[in-house]
Amino acid sequence: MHVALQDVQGVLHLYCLSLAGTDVQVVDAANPPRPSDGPAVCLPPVTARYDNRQDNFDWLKVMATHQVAHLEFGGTGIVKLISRVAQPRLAYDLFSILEEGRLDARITLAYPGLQRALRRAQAEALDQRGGLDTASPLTAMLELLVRMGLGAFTGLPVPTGCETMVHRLAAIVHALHDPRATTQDTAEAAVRACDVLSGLLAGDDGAYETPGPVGASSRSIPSTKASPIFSTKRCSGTAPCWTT
Amino acid sequence: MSASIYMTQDTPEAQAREYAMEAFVVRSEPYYRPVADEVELFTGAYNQRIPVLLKGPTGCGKTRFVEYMAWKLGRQLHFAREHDQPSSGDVQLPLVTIACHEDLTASDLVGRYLLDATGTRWIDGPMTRAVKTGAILYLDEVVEARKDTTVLIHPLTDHRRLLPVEKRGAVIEADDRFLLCVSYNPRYQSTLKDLKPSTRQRFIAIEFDYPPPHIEADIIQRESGCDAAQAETLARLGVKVRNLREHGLQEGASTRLLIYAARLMTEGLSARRACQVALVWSLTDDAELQQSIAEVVGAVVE
Repeated sequence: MHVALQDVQGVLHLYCLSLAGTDVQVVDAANPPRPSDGPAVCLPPVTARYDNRQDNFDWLKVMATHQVAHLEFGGTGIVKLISRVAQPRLAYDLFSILEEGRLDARITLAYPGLQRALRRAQAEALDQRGGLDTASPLTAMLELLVRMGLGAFTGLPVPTGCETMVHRLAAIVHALHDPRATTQDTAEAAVRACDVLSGLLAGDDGAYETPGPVGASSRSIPSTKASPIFSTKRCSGTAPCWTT
Repeated sequence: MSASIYMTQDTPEAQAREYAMEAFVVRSEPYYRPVADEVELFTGAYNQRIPVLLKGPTGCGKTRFVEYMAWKLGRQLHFAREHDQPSSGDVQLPLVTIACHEDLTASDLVGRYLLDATGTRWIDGPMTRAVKTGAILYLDEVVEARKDTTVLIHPLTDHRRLLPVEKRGAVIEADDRFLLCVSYNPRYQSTLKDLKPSTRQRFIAIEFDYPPPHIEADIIQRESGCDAAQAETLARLGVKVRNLREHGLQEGASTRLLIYAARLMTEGLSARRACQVALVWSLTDDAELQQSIAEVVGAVVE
């Protein structure tokens, strides 16, 4: 049974306000407000992912919580840090990917009551992501980071010759799962991840594709290209490789 | 447990009992967790006999603080009760607490003549008893009292320290130990229910609010006996629900209600059920607001 946003908009508005500690609009994603209108949570007008109304509502709640997390656990001051790197686009993409993962990890700790619904949404988001067989190495590495942010640290196809790189990235992602990690730490992590991946950027002649929407709320599938260069080695997280 | 501090140790089996003022005392230290320098402020005010105004939301610990201060100042706590006589002997610093309301008259506070078989006799009201015995007189929610009662406060709260008893044509000089302490909740005040400047400016004011989460968690754990993780969760929940103040909720979840939820959890109720009855249903009757709070509970509580 579907859930119409207009039927639950009032409840979700107060829910988001309660979590954020500031007023947050809850709006139809098809009609997003202007930035000057203040913070907003954008949700689909109708949610019919599941047969069960409660499951549909829980999914909406997870999406709302994730967006509110940017206000609740997010921060500012990123631009300056990102601007110090040679590849600002890559750094910004890495920041976006890592921050989404950090926020999902933070939600898991702060809102244990949402764990089941969040895990389900993450698993579905993982299922919906495309294959990596034809992606360039850099695009593939970014996609791996997205998947790590969705909680997948094992069974990931690692591009040949990139094993060490993947381990270093996994360590970066793990460190951001510390509840004390902040947006500033994410920016720092993005810079370090940029360093890790800089070799691939040169080899790729600067070309890569930004992954599709990341985090549990992602639904789109990134396009991929290039030759099959993947092995089936598993990567895993290790201890943090930098201190915050 | 807060209720136990008022129990006399020699009557644990009693279901209900009327105590003389001297018998109805706090015999052990009330639990109070200071948040800032309120203990030092009150102590200083008491030493200088400066009247104290406590401001803060419901259930944040104002009354407990006064009890604690009465104990800490080295005295026993006493509560005024109808027909009680002023105490004597080892009484050092009684605490007379009066919950103010719109029907509370000056006579209720000062006293009145009663007619009995032998004629008329004067009965001291709780304010008069407090003035005579040198108590801390605590007027809770003072803005709820009728205007004529606040007139009584004025001569008691300046250099005169006098209580005029008009019906008897008398004036009572307050005992040296006497101190007037009043409280109110600023969120309830309106233009019709506010202290006049001439009354406000007879007190120093100590502002209270709900404690920071780490302190509130300590309080919840201590008062309920729940474990640290449960207390920490409830304290976080309290912060979230309080964000709804001004958005439908007149008051946020009080520390008192969070303790109630924790106590129910120690009885084996699930956290969600305990929060439902102690918070969701207690805080509001508005269906949408109830569901919103329930969703917050569902997220914060495992």
